[in-house]
This record gives sequence, structure tokens and C-alpha cells, in this order.
Amino acid sequence: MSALAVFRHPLSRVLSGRARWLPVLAWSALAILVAVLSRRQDHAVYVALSRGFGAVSMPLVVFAVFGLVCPEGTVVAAARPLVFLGAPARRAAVSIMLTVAIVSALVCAALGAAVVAIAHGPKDPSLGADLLTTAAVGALGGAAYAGYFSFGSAYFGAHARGIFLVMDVMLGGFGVGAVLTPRAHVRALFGGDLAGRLSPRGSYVALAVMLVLFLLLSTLRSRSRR
Amino acid sequence: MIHVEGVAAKSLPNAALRRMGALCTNVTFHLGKGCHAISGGGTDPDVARLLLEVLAGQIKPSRGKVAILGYAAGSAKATQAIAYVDRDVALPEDMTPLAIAALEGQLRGGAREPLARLRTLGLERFAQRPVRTLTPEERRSVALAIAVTSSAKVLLLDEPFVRITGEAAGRVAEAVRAFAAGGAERCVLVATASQRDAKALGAEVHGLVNERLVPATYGAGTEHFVLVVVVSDPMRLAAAVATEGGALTVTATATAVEIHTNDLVAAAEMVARAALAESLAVVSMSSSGAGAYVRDGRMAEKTMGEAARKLTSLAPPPPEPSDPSARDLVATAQDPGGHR
Repeated sequence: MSALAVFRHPLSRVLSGRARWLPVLAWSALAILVAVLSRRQDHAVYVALSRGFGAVSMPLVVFAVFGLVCPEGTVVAAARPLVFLGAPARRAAVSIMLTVAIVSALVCAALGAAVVAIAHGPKDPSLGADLLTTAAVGALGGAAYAGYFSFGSAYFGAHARGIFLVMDVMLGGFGVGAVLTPRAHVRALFGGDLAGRLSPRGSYVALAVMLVLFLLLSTLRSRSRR
Repeated sequence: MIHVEGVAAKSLPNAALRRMGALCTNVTFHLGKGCHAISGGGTDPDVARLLLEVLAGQIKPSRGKVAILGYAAGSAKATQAIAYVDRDVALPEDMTPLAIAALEGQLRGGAREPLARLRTLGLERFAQRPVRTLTPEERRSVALAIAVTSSAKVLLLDEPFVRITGEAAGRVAEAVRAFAAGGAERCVLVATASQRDAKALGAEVHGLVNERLVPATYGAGTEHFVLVVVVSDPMRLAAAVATEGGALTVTATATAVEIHTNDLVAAAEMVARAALAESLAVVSMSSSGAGAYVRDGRMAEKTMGEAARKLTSLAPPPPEPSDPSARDLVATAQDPGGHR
């Protein structure tokens, strides 16, 4: 079996999505709008990233990308066609989750760089370094959110994705919960308040750990049958 | 090739898919190569479907062992070796049937040309259309074409003649027979309510009797009764009756248990024992025979009447059924002398 053949199904959904891309574009447009409006302020990039892209658009863009690749609501259901065609269940689920994570990372990296480019003003750090840093944080944050939503739907069903989004908003602001969801770490990396007692480097590591852990736990669940 | 031992599993009712719940408590059977069908009078189609889902690894049994070609059901090797076409098969919606056939060849192995595979069931005319533009019948036909031409060793089919295109229906029997004859280690298991369909596939027909596969011998001259017991907890009664054995099939619905049996007297006694043991409230029992000759009819009435009297609680009898062949044994219990 070709190892990459399993990706043809989720990639076909990404490339043929058409109307299903609209929510992704809508939330991206929101981030761009905030970037345009923040140009009038001091430290416009910080405002655009922390209040627009990182706080609102990134989780919603990843939420929409998950719906694009898994319209059924769960990774296991999205992988059913591949299982019918002979792919092992776990491998099929991993292909779906990796597609969500990679597409989320690419979209969030590009969107973050676009926000920085639009909002950049004279009082902001150098554009080149800021673009690279923001793209890296956007990619890591987007992938972490993809793992977070995959975990939610794998263990709690198709509707859990929305609940996990609300949890991210409510818990991601304060206390111990701030460490458990991607929101606080993304905010810290965009120059906001630190997550818990972690340094910005610690938040990088936390996001990477979240990504790996959530995807691993979701993979374990993909083997379970009803 | 297929080994099922002591398997207990259940599926829940699903209104969207129009299926009742199904339960099996101790299914054991072994199937070798060739084409087999679970059919025959008394076989519950939902239980047959449940067994297919267990074999395909979609439902995990709560007890027992399932092995296909030596691999555990649901394992990676088993998934590669099995092609399961259920009634709600899922295909990649954004791909064309041609691309899907090619993908299946890459995933499962096999060098057969994709268009030739679709041509097997006469589906070449929409080979280049995305699956999302196809009707449910066309999609299921595509899935069947891919499955019967695959390099899988085991083919599981749920009603292969249902919900497919007319062209495919005319060719599927030949394709399935060709699959079964295609190699030394090939097995086909079909779940169908139609013995005619099973025979068209050249299948060895089995019925599910006491959770065992037996050669289907139902037909003219065989006595066959259906005992319907309206009870407070149908699932518990069904589990207890299935464990006792003696019934051909036991099916639980939301309010009643339906028992197919060749021995009405034994079935009634079994229900009485099970209801007493489980402290279940039985509302009514009624039975029907499909025009078959009833031996010892009065003995059966008397036994069932006695069984009904033994039960701890009985609701008022339901209204007299309009079907003259159905006998209401709550009324018999009230009037054991048979004056009605």
C-alpha cells in the first residue's frame, strides 16, 4: 500500500471544497479588517494580533478547516470511506487529522503574516523578523488548535467541537485552564499576558506538546469501535 | 476462514437509517471458503446485519472472539482483507468512481484497470462524475463494483440486490459468483431476507437458529410459529430467552419480544420461566402460525394459558385481533375451558 495514498481523500475535500471554504475566508477577512482598523493605533501589530487574529480568527479559522475536512463532525466518520477502500482505521484517521493540522498551520501562518504586513507601523519591530515570528506562531497555534478540536470530537462526539471552542474562550483567559487550551499560549506568544507561569519559550513547548498529545490521544480513540 | 465464537453484541435503533435495534448473546459459527448467505424464514435481518458489522470490525462485541483469516476483526490486516458493502456505504464524495477504484487498488493492492472494474456492473457511464453528483443507488452500485472486483479475500454484503441501479442488479449475481470462485481463499457472506436472492448468488443458505448457523430448511410442511410477548422490559426477556435456547430467533422491539419457534408449547413455557426468573411484567402473549398445520392445538392453548396464569402480573387483555389466524392467549387464560 502506498503510504501517501490515504491522503487523497482528505486532500480531495480540501481542493474541491469551494463553498465549504467560505467560513475560512470569512474569519480570515475579520482578521484582515481588524489589522486595517488597528493601523491608527500605536503598536498596531500587537493590537491586530492579540485582539483580532489570535483571539478571534485563529480558533474560528481552524474550526472551519476542521469542518471542511470532516463535514461529518468526527475524524472516525470522515475516515469511513478510506476504511471501506481497505485502509486500516488508525492510518485513515491519522491521514485525516494530519490534513486538518497541516492545512490549519498553513492558513494560519499565511494569515498571521498578512495581518502583520497590513498593520505594520513605524513603532512596531522590524517587519522581516515580525513576519517570520508571526508565521511560526500562527502555524504552531493553528496546528495545536487542530489537535485540540480533533481530541474533542474523538472523545465527546461531533458536537463537542463547538463545546471545546467555548471552553477555549472561557478557560483560556485565566488560572489553570489557561495552560490547558491553546488560547493563552498563543496570546503570550503574540506579546500578551503570559500563560500561567510559563515564559514565551515555555508556551512554544506547551503548544507543541498539545499538538502531539491531542493527536496521539485522538489516534488511540480512532481504533475504538462503537 | 470466518470464526465467530461466543459473541455477544448489540446495535441500537436508528430512526434515520430505519433500523431496529439488534441483540445477540452467544453466537457461534464457522464458515469456510465459498459463498454463504444468512437468510431463511425466522432470521432477523437486523441481527444478520449486526453480525456483518461485527465481522467488518465496525461494532466491537462485548464478549467472544471473532477471527477472519486468522486476524482479529477490526485489525489492520483484517480491514485489508475484508470488503464490506453495507446499506449506507460511504464513498469519498469529492472523487470520481474512476479515481476511487484507482485509490482502492493502491490501498488494498491489485492491478485491475479501474474502468474495467466499473464496467463489471455496467457503471462506466458515470465513471468521471464526482460521487456527490450520483444518486444513492448509483453510489451503492459503485461501491459494489469496487468490492466485487477488489483483491479482498472476504466479501460481506448486506442485501446486495437492494438500492442499486437496474444494470448493476442484472450483473451483480454473476460478479459475486466470479469473486467467490476467484481464488483458493475467498469467502462471501451475504445477509439477505430473500432466499431467492441468496440462490441467485449461488450461496449456501443458512438460517440463524438459536444463535447458530444451520442449513435453512424452512418451507412447506414446516411448522413455524411466531410468539409475540408484550412485556415491560423486552431486552431483558429477549436476553433470557436467547440464553435458554429453544427458539429459532428472538427479536426485541421497544415494547415486545417476538419469538420464532417450531414448538409453541416449549416457547410459551420458556417465556413463563424467563419472566418469573427476571420478575418481568408481561402484558400479553399472542401467537400466529403462517397457515401451518398445528399439532396439539388445544394442548398449546392450554399450556400457554397455564403459563399466562403463572405470571405475576397481567394487564387487561388487548382487543381481539382482526386476523383470524392470530390467537389471543390472554383470553385463553381467562377462559381455559375453551368456550370461546
